[in-house]
Amino acid sequence: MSAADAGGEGLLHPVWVLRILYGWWALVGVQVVLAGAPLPWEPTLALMDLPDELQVTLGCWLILGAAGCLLGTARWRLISKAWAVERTGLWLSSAGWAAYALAVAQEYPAATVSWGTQVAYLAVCVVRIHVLARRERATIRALGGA
Amino acid sequence: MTLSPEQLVAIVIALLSGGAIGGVREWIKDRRRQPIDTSAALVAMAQSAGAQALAVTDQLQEEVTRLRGEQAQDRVATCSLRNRVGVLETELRGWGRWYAWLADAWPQIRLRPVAPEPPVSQMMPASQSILEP
Repeated sequence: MSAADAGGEGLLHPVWVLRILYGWWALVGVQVVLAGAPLPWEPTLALMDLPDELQVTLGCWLILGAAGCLLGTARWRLISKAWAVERTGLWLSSAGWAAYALAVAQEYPAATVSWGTQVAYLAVCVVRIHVLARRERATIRALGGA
Repeated sequence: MTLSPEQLVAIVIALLSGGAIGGVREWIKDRRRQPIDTSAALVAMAQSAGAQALAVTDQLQEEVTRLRGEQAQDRVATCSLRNRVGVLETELRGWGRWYAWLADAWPQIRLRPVAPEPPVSQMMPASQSILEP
């Protein structure tokens, strides 16, 4: 287990890469929520096929997932709780990114960069869930658990 | 493949529901498990890493010991070979000198009724061949 899971490391620590990524995910969620609103700019055109309610739901979903992920990387007294929070966030985020990628691919199948980015985020979620599970098993083993 | 808006909405809702179920499952799993204290986990992992490092060190130590043994054997073999090469060089020089003398004195020697003695060999008897270790 890296010290990242204890949170509160220096700025050069790899956990900050995750925090920046999760922060961006939250910002994407905010932009998706705002996409239907009359703004002077268009944050995303790719979700036009979705009804406004579902678009707002997807945006909130992404915000919620990213918030869970971010919260999980904070300093917790119980590391098991931090893992659970981050993994819950990752599950929500992975579902959100999968839905997002599908909606974009449906509307613009040739825009591979647009939906490929969401697929890459989905892959990040899957890998991170796997890494956290492995780390948890290793920690339980080191603590002498089953 | 083109989906109708209704199908797309249904799939999106299904995906989001799947994510929600996954998230809830994580919470349930966490509630069933024994909580792990952060500092205890860090100490345990540090100890585990230390034990692993010690195991690697032990393995390396064994390897160094084995290599040292092999090196000592090689050194003995090299000394033995050097000795045998020295004996062969001496022998070769003896034969070289004897041949030079024979060639110089050949006109007289060929007329002798008795053949000259061969050079004195530095080598061990044939039963203890220096060519074999």
